[in-house]
Amino acid sequence: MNDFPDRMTPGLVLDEAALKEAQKGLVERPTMNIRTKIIMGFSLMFILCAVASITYLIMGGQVEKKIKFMETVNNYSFEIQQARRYEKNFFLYKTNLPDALETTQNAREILKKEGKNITAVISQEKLNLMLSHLSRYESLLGSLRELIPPGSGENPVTLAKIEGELRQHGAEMIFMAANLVEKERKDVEAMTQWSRQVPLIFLAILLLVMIYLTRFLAQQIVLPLNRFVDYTLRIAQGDYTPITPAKRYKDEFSRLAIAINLMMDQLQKNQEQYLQTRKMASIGTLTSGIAHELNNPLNNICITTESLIDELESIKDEEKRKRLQDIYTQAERASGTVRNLLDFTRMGPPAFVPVSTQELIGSTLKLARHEMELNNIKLQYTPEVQDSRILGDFSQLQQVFLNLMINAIQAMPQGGQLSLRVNNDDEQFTRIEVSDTGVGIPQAVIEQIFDPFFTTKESGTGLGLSTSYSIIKKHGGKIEVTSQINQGSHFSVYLPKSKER
Amino acid sequence: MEEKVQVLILDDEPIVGKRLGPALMKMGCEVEAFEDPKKALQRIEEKIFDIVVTDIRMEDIDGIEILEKVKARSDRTKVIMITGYATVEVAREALGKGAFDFIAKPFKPNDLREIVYRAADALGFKGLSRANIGE
Repeated sequence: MNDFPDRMTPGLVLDEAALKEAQKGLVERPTMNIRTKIIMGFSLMFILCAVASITYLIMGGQVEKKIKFMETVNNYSFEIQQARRYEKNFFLYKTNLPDALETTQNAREILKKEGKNITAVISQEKLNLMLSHLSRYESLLGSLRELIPPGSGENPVTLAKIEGELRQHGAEMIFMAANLVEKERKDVEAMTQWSRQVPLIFLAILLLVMIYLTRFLAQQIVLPLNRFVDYTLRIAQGDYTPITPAKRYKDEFSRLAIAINLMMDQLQKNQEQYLQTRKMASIGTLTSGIAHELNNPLNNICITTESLIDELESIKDEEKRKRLQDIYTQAERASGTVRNLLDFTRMGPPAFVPVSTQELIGSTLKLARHEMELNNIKLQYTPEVQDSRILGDFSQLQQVFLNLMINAIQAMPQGGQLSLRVNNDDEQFTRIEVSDTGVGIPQAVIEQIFDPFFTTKESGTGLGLSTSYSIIKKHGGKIEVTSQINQGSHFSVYLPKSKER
Repeated sequence: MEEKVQVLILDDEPIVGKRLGPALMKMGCEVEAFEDPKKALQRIEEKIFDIVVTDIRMEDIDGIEILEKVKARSDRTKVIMITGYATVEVAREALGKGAFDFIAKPFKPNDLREIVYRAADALGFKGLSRANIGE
């Protein structure tokens, strides 16, 4: 008996006040749509990608600049080296001085033309320093030309001094250029190396962001979905407790919750109507029994009345009184049947109150008794010595047992025995057993008998047992069945005992 | 053959026999009323009745069984069925098995008297009183 729901107070009755409270709670929260959250998440990803792309573009530009700069400096360096080669020739053979001047000129041109590219990489001071070295070198070459016009005598001292200075500036210029190139080459190398790492780092960050986003979306979508699966399972079991807010913000799921709450309200109302319809239907199967039960007393009234009219003059007062008493008794009998029927079909919201087991079985038997007599069915029922009380809705429980009795009667077309037993051995539950000696239920279909629309009868609707099942579930009880072909079926209904005695 | 029409009434409602008996006797029938189908069957074995009036639905034995027994015993006996809730199937079955006619509850004693009169007439009894009919 461990598979009973924990909830002992059935949620069959949807509390209007609780519903209103829940709906209010659901509405009165700040809005944070999932849509907005998704847009935010993807915007974050876009910004990340944009930042990475821009970084990459900037780095590309940087590398391009540096390569251009290196080209320029290489050209410049080449011109200077050329100039120095001519300078050397001059000191050795006194030739090529104009060539040296020209290449120096070329070097200056390069620095001038590519000034912008150069200052994009190194500072203006460095460029100025380079230019000043170049100017000095140029002016030294110029002074050499003035000092030694072609064919004139030499001044070795001055020459040596100029040579020294020329060498110094020349070497300085080449050294500076080489230094710059080397430094930039290292920079470019570092940058290319870094640019190889950037995509990996970016991918790693992207992965982390995506993991976060996935988890976030899961939290925002999958978790509420799971919650709603739980809700629907709970509702399917007939627990109509309204959904209350589970989060601080309201979003699309809040609208769903509101809709489900409204649906439950409607379901509850439909359910009441459905049960009412089922009740009427079960009465329908008793039509012939009820007709007999009414027609017999009516017939008795008819013939007794007529006999009174016929013999009014000839019979004694005592005999008249006797016949009137008969009429009265028969009228009582008919009205008792009608009252019983009305009690059963009375519509009204379900009310969970302590119900006397004896009264429940007794009143249900009254409804089915004649049907049993008509079908040659013997009843075996000894009421308990001490009456027990179960917690439930009288009319709905009556329907459960009426359905079981009708099924039992219909399972015994050749007549048989219907037994009712009440067992109170368990502390929490009263067990009421309904068994017949009828055709039995095939093992192949015994699992299906509580399914809606499942029927083994030609004219059955397949709703009797499924209705009984859902009523019992709503009462926090359960129903079990065992059956043997041609031996009979045995239904056990467990219903929670009322704590009030 | 006795002069009076021999009638057996069987219904598990005691009032039916108690009130219909005198009503039919007034017509000039000799009536035996039973509540218990078993006792009625016993009596049928002992005596051949001209007319048997039986309820269809009773505990233990139903009216169709009575009809069969009566017809097996004496085919000329007219059997009139009383039913508390007439269904086409039961009517067809009863008529197929040779019932003379039907009467549905609730009925007036005069309705039954009319049918009994016709049954007796069919059997060739002419002496029955119809005095109360049409009252």
